[in-house]
Amino acid sequence: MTSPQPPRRPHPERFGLPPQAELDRYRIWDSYLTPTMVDPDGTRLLRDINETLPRLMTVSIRRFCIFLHVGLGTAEPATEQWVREHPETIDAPLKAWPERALGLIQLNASDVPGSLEAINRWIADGPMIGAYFPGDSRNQLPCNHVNYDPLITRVADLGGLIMQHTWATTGGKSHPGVSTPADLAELGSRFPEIRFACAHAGGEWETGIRSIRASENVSIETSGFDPTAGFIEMATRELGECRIVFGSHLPSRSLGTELGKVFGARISESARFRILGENLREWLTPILRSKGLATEP
Amino acid sequence: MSQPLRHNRRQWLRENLVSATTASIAITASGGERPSSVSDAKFMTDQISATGSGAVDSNVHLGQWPFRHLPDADLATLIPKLKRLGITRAWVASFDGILHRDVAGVNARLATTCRDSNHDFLVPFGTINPNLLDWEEDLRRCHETHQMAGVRIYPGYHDYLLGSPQFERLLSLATQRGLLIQVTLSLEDTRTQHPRLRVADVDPNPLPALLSRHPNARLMLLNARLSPQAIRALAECPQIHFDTARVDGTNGVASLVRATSSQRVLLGTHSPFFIPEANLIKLYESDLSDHDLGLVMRSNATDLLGSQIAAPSAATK
Repeated sequence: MTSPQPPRRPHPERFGLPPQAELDRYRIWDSYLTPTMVDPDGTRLLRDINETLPRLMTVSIRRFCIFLHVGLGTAEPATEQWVREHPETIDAPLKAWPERALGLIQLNASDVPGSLEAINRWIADGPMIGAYFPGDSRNQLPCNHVNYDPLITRVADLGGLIMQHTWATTGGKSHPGVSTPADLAELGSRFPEIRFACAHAGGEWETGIRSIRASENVSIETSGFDPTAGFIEMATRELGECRIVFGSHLPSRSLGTELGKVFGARISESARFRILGENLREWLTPILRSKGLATEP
Repeated sequence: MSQPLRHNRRQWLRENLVSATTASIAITASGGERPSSVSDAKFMTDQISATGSGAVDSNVHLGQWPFRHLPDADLATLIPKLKRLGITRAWVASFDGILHRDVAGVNARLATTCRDSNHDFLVPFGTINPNLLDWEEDLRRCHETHQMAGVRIYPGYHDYLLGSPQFERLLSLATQRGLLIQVTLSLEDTRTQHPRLRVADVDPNPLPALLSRHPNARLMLLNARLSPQAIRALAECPQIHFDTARVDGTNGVASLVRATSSQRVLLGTHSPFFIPEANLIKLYESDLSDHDLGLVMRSNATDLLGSQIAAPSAATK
């Protein structure tokens, strides 16, 4: 599928971005695109990505991760029904944009047999490169629950990326299935040889960063909260530049909010390169190679 | 639909900027200390429009955020950074105004800081807390002593509703003085606030009814993150302007412009709490026309304060 070209405005350097040539050199990979997941007829997701893609191209985002429902009860009812009745459409975005889209499947730790089957079908034998554990109210178990153990072990055996949604809300969890960075640190401590991505750094990132600091197998993902100053500086100080991966959270967030965090931070250029692309590329290179997928740009 | 709205707004601005100037002169004649300088205002307006570049940031704070060290909070860091980003004017209030009760002291220090640091760059907005005794005197000093063009309020932190009688009185008095009121709807995501100081976003729903009783009032909402329904309701009030600070989502700023008017949205970075680059990049990624971009970045701010801006260097002598 071809996407409309972005209405590229000249002189990004006048808007808080680097000049275009410099922007291109970062070779940005986006670990967290969030197109609509309400897709009861198999068209809305594709349309949403198609409309978002020009924005990504505007700032030279080369690859993006998306989190696809595979019929495990992670979607609202209409979408769930569509996915179960039309599993052949699940990887349509990967077929539409094979040079850009990287697919992760959404798993449900309340359904361990079904999730293991999905891992085998879509990661071991299919085109997906990892698993995403959501944090919405349909998810009933936080990630420190033992049900996660066989799932993350199997995904890790396949070299897949494990992205765990986390939020640490003031006043406590909005529902029992929400995972916090502390929950993920607990899971990570059970499997120190497996790497995890802590999506959104828990939102309240000062606590989130410290929650996972000692868990060297846990990295943070940068999207999903306001562009609060000091975030990336603290993250690089406490975790090091190799444990941070960029996410855009488009289209529900903006490039301004998400890229601004990295381009506005007082960090070294090497750290910026790592956060915006190098870290995720290194993380995914083994599984991309194993599937014969391109590791560049 | 947008064309009649624009026409109405232009007409409204013409009428009210004239009345604001008249109000300023009237207050001076009745014992005020110093009027706003029309020549200063003209200088500023001309300078912004003549350069044809640069931007006005309508939402900046000075001082220290109580809960976190902000990398750009120091003036020596903040001003050069904003200037490097192409900001030519910053409308500033003081973080101290959020929690301090000696608001007069907060405002006096703000005025002095603006005067001493860079008289062309910082435009002070005093804090008013209508829950404090004698706040009317704070308003008078903001206007007459410090010659501020507007005030910034924090209903969530100062614990009153926009439907309350004290806000209506503040609205009335500020309007009589021709002052712009910046209503801070939020400062921080409620989900990440300090557990002992949790402040809900301010509900703007009372505003349409209130403004129907105060047609000459001028309001600007800062850090609004509103539902489409709420925006539609507020769009009916031409007196209300919006900043971009917490507008989010792909093409969020352009969507707000379409829902309201290209003449009612102003660049606001909410720095140093937010990274200022964020709101500039939002403009870069938006599909606003170059003309509308100029309105959001510069001209709307000039329109809104044009005849009201006093150079801080003269104001606090």
